Amino acid sequence: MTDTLETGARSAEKRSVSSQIFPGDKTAPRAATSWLRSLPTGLSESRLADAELCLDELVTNIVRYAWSDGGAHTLTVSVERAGGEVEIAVEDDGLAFDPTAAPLAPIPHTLDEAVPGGRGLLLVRSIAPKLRYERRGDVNRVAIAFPL
Amino acid sequence: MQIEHDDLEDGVRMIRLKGRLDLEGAEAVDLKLTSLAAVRKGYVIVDLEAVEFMSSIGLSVIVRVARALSAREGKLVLLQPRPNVADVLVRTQIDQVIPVCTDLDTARTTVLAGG
Repeated sequence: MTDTLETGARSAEKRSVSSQIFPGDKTAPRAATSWLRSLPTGLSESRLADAELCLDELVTNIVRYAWSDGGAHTLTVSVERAGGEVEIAVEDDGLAFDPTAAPLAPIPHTLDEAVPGGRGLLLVRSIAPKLRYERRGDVNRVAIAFPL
Repeated sequence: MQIEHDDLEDGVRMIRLKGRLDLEGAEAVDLKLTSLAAVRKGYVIVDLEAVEFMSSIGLSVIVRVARALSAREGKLVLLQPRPNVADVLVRTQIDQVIPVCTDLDTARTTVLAGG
């Protein structure tokens, strides 16, 4: 795992970036959210709880669905504080997957209609004030942002 | 993730979950919760008071157990979720199909009323 911290000026405003690499297995969601909580993001507890849930959902999706070869993989989480908001980005080299466009679970009217799956993205899309996806070469990059 | 249970005198089974109901937590309790909920009368209260965090994967375990109980005319009721856990139930609208109660008496009455 790596951890880097830069504080300073690419622009006039104060900016800080931290990033961490996690194994792409079932331990990643808990490790990533615990790491997020250890950072001095400046987010209120309420927004940090929202960010924690969204990060957990994004990382869970990656470790469950991104890779089909059964091999060892990693994912990278970066947290950047700039411009009055905190952006959390998750990168993986798995199958291309756009969480901003994927279908959501239908809203259930009965328990029978409450099918498994799709609720993680529903939560992310309903909670994160900003959600962006890019495919950069062989890498998925999903970024969510929360105001300070 | 810890899981405990008590059988109340009216045939209701109370299952208490404790910890983080995330991917690891869901995997840790899935089989045990499914097994504990397979009680004869099918009246189950799942106490969430000590669940500090719940993601969609944890919610899916609960939904699956609730559906299994409903299929055999039992019922699952959730008790005392913390605000962040209750928020997940509301945003996914699972609170519309699985009763969520804030006190034990109401939970018992609700679960015994059947599906």
